[in-house]
Amino acid sequence: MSVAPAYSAPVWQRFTTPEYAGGDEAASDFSVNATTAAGDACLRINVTTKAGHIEMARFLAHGPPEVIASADLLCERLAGTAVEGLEPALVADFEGVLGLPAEKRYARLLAEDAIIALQAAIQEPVTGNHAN
Amino acid sequence: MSGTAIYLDHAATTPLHPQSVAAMQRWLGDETVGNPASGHLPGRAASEAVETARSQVADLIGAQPRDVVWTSGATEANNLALKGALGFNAAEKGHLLTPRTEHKSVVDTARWLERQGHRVSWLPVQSDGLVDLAALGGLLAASRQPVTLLSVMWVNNEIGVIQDIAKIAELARSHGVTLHVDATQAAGRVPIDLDSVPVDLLSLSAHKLGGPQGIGALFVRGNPRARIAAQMHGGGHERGLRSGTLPVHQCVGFGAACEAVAAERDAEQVRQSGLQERLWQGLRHLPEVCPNGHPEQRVAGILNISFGRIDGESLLADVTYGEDSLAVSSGSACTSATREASYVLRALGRSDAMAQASLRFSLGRTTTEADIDTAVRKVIASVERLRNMSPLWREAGQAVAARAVA
Repeated sequence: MSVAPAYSAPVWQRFTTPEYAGGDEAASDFSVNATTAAGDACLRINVTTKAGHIEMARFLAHGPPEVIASADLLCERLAGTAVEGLEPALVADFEGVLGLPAEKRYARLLAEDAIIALQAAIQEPVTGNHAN
Repeated sequence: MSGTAIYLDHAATTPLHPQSVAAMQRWLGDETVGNPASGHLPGRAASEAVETARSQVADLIGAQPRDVVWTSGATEANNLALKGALGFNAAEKGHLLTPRTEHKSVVDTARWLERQGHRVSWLPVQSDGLVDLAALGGLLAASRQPVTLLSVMWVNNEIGVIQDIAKIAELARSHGVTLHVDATQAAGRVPIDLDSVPVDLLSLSAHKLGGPQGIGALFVRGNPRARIAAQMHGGGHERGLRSGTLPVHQCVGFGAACEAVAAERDAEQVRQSGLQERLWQGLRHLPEVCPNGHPEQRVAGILNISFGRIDGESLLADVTYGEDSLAVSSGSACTSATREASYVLRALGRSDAMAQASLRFSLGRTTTEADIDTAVRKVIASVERLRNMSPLWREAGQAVAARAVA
């Protein structure tokens, strides 16, 4: 008998074997947080930059599998992206790519909030590690 | 993924007892056709089998067989008890008093009764899950509208605490209040003697104690007579309280399971108590774990633990899939849009986060030490994996480190 998990295949794969989990705030150029309004899910993105591009992105996340999967996909997308080209549109297709159910759309919104926070952190005049 | 798992969800349903299987097999062949309500020979044979099973169920709870009414399960039994008791006197609306920690089949029925114009009062419980007997006595004595029915679960399905039904029954009787007890999780785990405890109505489910799914019973005391109105009409079966052709194989399977668990109960409780302690000792060293419910006044075999700084849905997903997957349950309704935390744990005063991040381990006849050891390894691995990628856990660690430096 074969029983499928209660999550889409992309969510399940990224939840069980996330490639981009971890990251050290102290060793990152930028560290940003995003939290749901209810405060029951959050994520932190740590990035290092090099020559105007995001060299590496890692995440920490607290929430259901969809939030962890969304954070993992976000980090995958961020790697190699030009700092100037950071846009919330980077995660616009997350619902389809991850197969998020309607009640878990907030997993994409968290990723979007993280990008907006990252944009703001990068545009701040002071360089170095930021945590908002 | 394989459909097999380490099964630690016996409070949801437990495997059929071999004696139940054997008893039912005799009634699943061509030779054993017969409606127990029919007067011919096959019908009378079926009726005899049903009545033997009724006696076996009655014996488990120290009751008279004539007071056992077959139902489709505990949900129907709870519905029949609550709706039947409050609806018996059609001329006036009733008043139900029940704790907030009851099973959904009581809570949702109570809300339905409220919508029909009956009054429902919610009885608070202590932080250990037990009913405050002094508060209950006060409510029974002081209520402006006399209580028609008090409904209390004997053993809580989520946290396993045992209510003091003997004292609750005494209080109810002294105030002239009808008492209904949902004994779904109690039957087969704790001794029940309705000959000495004045419970008026008591719900049972077969598949929680090794019988088949789809059958249960409601004990309706005949002396003094508990008065309830039937909710199912057509044929007048079961003394007119529950019409419908009786499923002979399920009745005999239920009866056989009752007989089997009655014989094995004491030894099984000792064995499961040891397994539960092994499970707790294996997990208690994890940081921020908290068992829910009274530490002693509880059955062996139901252990509910909250895990701090972890998402309950991710924890449940992680332990229930993959290698050495566990079949356990969570009190939280994780699949709902709201990811609502367990209302039982919230009633005990747990925070939303702790109530949401809980696992219920329920053990049974087939649980082994190897199952427990695997479960301990799996849960520890899942908790550590999820916490290692949690910003909340990292912050907690940094705070501890900062305090140590200071």
